[in-house]
Amino acid sequence: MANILLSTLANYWKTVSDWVKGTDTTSAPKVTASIVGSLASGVTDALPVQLSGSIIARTSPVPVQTVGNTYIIDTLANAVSVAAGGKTDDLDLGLTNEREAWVLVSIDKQPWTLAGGHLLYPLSDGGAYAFYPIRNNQTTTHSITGPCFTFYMGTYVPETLGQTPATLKEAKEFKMPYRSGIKIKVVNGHATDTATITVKILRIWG
Amino acid sequence: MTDDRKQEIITALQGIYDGFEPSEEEPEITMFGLISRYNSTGQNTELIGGQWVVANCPEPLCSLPS
Repeated sequence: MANILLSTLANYWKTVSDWVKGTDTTSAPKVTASIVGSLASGVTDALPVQLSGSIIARTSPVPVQTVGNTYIIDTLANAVSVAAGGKTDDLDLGLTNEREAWVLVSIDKQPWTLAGGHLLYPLSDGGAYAFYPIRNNQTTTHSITGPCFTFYMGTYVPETLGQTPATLKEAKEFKMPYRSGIKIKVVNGHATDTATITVKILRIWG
Repeated sequence: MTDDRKQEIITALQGIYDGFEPSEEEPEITMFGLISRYNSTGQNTELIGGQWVVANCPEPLCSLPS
């Protein structure tokens, strides 16, 4: 047991008190404190904080940056068997906002015809002239690895514009906006044999 | 279509699949290749196609690429 004067104890408490209050700068504290993290000097405004949700209004489109083209290949008819003189069922191209759409036909008999609708007449009997090149009584056959590519122009160009595109470049210049609900069909023009037909669509965006 | 006829078709398709030999022009058998070969036999009176194969045939026929 140690004896300590009350006056000495009072002095000790005063020293601690002065240090805590900052009035005594000479006494070194036994415990050091450090600040974890700090604001950059000169910052006086509150920092903006995004907690959750979207800063884009619900009715506004979401900005998307794309690099290069995007494409999808969909199968519209998977190895259907079409009797001589017959046709496939009506196939919906399922168009939306593609920049380009190409119909890919694989078929093991000839002749054959690709027909379809267009901007103002969506049904499959709209004729062959919405496509470039025109595939009317085509006399070639095409394997699954080497399908026949045909560009879809969206409209019956000879009627709407009074001329037939001579090149793919012209066909693309004539292209009209695509609409939904366009139907196409492939006709098997062979006189006696059943044709095997696969139809795909190549959709291109960007 | 009767079950017997269905099995007859499946057997014929399986035979085509088993007898397929890859080539440079056709490295793997596809649904198009299978049905085309079946059509060339003249036996496809029902005009079945890829959709029928997917719905009725066992592996690997039902999973052939389109």
